Amino acid sequence: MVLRRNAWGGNWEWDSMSGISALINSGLGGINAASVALQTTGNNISNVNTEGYNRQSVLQSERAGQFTGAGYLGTGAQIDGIARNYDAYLQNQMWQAYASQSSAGVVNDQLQQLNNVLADPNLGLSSALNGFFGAMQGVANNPAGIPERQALISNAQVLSARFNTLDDHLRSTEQSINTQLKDSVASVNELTRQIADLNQRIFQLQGNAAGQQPNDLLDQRDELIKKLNAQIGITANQQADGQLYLFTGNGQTLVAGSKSFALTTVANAYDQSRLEIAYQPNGGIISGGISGGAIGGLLRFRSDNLDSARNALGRIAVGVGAAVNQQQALGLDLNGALGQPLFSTPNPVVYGSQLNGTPGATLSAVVSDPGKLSASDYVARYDGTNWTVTRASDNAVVLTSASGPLNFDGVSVSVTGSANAGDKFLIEPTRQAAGAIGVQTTDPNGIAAAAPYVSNTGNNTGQVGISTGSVASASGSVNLPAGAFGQNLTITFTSSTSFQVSSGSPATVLATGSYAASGTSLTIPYPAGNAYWRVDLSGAPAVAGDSFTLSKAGVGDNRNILSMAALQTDKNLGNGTMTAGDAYGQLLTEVGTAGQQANIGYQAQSGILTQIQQSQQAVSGVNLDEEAANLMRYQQAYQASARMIQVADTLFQTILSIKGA
Amino acid sequence: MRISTPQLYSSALDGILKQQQRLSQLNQEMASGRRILSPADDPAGSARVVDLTANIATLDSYDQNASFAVNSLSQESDTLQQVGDLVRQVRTLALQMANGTQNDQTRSNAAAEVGSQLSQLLQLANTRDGNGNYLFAGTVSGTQPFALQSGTPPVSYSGDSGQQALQINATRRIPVADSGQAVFMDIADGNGTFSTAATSGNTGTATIGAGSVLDPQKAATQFTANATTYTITFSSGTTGTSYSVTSGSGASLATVASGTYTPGMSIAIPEAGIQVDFQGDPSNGDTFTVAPSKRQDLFSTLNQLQSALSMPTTSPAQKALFAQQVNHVLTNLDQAENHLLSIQAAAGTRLNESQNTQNANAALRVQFQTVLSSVQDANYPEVITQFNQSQVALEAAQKGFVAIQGLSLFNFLK
Repeated sequence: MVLRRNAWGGNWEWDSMSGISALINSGLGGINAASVALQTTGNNISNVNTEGYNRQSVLQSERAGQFTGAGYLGTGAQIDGIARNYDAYLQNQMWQAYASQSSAGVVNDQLQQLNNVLADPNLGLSSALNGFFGAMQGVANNPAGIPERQALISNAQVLSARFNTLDDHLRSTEQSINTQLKDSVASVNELTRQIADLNQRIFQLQGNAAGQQPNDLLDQRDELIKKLNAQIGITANQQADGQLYLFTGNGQTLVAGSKSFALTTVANAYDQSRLEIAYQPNGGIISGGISGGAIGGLLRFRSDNLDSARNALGRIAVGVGAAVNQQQALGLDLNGALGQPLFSTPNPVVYGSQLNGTPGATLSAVVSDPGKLSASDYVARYDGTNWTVTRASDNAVVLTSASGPLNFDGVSVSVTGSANAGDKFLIEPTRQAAGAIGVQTTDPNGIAAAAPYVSNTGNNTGQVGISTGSVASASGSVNLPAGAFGQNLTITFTSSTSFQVSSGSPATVLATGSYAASGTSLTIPYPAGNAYWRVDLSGAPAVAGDSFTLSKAGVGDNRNILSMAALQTDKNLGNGTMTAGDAYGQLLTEVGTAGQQANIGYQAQSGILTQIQQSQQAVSGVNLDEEAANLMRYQQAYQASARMIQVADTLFQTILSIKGA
Repeated sequence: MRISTPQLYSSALDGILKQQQRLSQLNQEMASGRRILSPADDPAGSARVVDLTANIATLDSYDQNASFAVNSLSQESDTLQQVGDLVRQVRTLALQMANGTQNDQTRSNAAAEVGSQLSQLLQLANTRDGNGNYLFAGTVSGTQPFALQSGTPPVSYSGDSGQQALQINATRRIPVADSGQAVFMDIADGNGTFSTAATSGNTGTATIGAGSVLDPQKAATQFTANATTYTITFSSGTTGTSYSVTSGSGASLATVASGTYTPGMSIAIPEAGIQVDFQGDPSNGDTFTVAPSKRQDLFSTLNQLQSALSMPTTSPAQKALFAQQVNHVLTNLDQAENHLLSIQAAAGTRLNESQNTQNANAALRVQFQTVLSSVQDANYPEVITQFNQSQVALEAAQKGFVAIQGLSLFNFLK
């Protein structure tokens, strides 16, 4: 029933017929609205477990009123649209949280593995180190015993194998990082391609649908961006036309509207076996600026933890190997010859940058002082006049020199050829050492247990005494000529204040010296290296004719192996601050602390993510109880609207019966 | 705040998973007995474990070394004891033979006995340790150090003066052997400062004693620094027998003392701060020497006794010479006995030290072990309590999950 003017513009009167149809229309509108709402509720229920689904609700409004003499009459309800319950701010936060959590998770996983490797008693280094030095004490107890010597060789092999195995684990981790980076980059490229595609479709559909949003596609796109964030941290920029632009941490565009730009993996400029992330459109390496996601986590773990762990392990290998070899060279083996190196320790690795000019310089490095080695890498850069060497761990310039050899932190780098200005070299002093250390002397006789000389006193009347002798780094007051080493020597006093040193029969005088009662030192230079065997003569009176002999030590001498065994407690690493065991303890502490922090970081990021997820779910999540209530609500609305039509029909029938009567 | 249904499930599930993870960790701690399962559990503790384990391993080495030292030193001590006994036997025999009641036959028997004692001594000097190494060879432990040879000295030494030492704790390297040179060869003859001798052509019956030092400082100057040898010459004249003490020869010949001789007197040499006693009557021109003490090996001393016992003793002069020789040997044997005793005492002290160090090492090891255990071992009461707590929490979480999943409005829509 509608109140309206009659056809000729006369008095207001009731238009019963149009009133009934309006009632029907209004009822229809209600049925429509309720069925759309029911359908939406049904969609919500169906998608309760769909990842990335945002709860939808019906936007319903009043239809425009119809003006009548009585005022505006309501004409029912209408559907304006289906809205996603969505908060762009929360969504953005969730993406970021995903990137951080994924990166923290990768770092945590990798570090727990690294920790487990180092903690494994069958893999750990400390038992092997203890066994090796313990075996030296065995040789000291019975220097001529072949079984004891064989035990030492075997323990040396166990130690070097332990170094190799540990390094192998670390190296295979590095290789698996390469593989994971490749996989991640492939999935990043696939995801960005799909996102660009969705951007395009969303743009089109939005245009076609007069501004209505394709909710399903938006949900899909958000879910893909979440997955992308699990691989690499990105920032998203929403455009007015509904398209999203995505950028990496360094600002490289990954998706611009309907276009996507790929990442790729390329070999490191120095170490070709190591993969870096590059931006395909310009080929630039962007590893340094990536944070977040699996890629960010892998790169961070590799540079912060893996490299330093390998370097630290390598430093212990070089430290132990070089110190033992050095001591070997100072003693006599069971055949009476100077000891040969027990371990083969590799030289530092030098990589020239791929960008260096040609023909350039070739750099080769040796460890000059294991005690001074750091666990860092170095970059040497030539600027046309000077070499500048920078330590990677703290970016400190350790050396500026116009020409080689470049000596820094226990490493000596020789330069051959002429470098071009701007050429760069990466020097890894200890990275490969733990993997490459080996046992070189496998003959038990080769262990240099004995010191070179035994001091003997002749049938003297004077009171001059002779020391048992020791290794010195500087020459004494009387230094014998090179070549004297290894011969039996006789020191004879020619007067109370002078003596001569001779060898052989008939005696050849090798040196003469003057004697002071306060003490006179005599040194015999070793054939190689700046080391001397030094004996001290002291006491008074000295009597002409008194003599001493220095005879080659026999098989029962254990002085050199005692010095070698003492290396276990010598602080011969890190500038005299650490024993090999300490250095391993330090490595464990570093890796352990990093593991602890990574675990805490991962828990924290997971907590943050859970919180944001809760907030996001509070807005966008489906609650089945709520939907059940809605089902009933809309069902009742539907039933009520249908009832309206029934009422209109009854009215109509009533009117029909009047006319017909 | 709205809670979404999947969230309700996932947070309940998270709770269960967390408790299970904790239970598994605690279970691992209980099964392994370790608190630190990976360095990340306690980074500082892990480094401490490495350090303590290394310390304990080192102590075990030291302990082994100390046992080895104890063995070596015991063996050396035992051998030196036997050598000392042998020297005392020889000395007793020499004393018997010095007695005038002996005849050629008994002396000849004694000579044979000394010969067998010499070979016993040689055997002792060539003793080997458990590894077959010669105990008294210095560093040349694989080669027999002492061998008979013709000539002087009667036994050659092919070892050296090296001395094996072992590390018995962090700071002490203890010598566990003495070289043959030090034990058998480097024995001072005479009285340790000087030695006296009769010249072989003497015809009188005078014998010279070992002498004694009155002023050690003067004695050291003359015998050690200047290596002065004194000659005491007797001359018989109308006024009786007189003596003069000279040093040097040729242009530097100087008389440092002289006087009248009476048998049994001690002649003093003031310059050297010593006196020597004489018995019997010297003939005119008989000479004796007082020379700086030299080193004489034990084998030579025995050899000297053996040859003295074979000397003819018919004339008074021969008897005097024999007595002189036996006296000389007795002096040298006294020196040898003292020498051996002091070496034995030093070895005994080192033996003692090794044993004490072994005890100290054991005590230290217990200490380290205790600390290690407190750092790395699981505290069972604590872990079991935590395990029970986690178990209760897991059960609660599981009950909660079951309760939550049963709650749905749909259950009431019929």
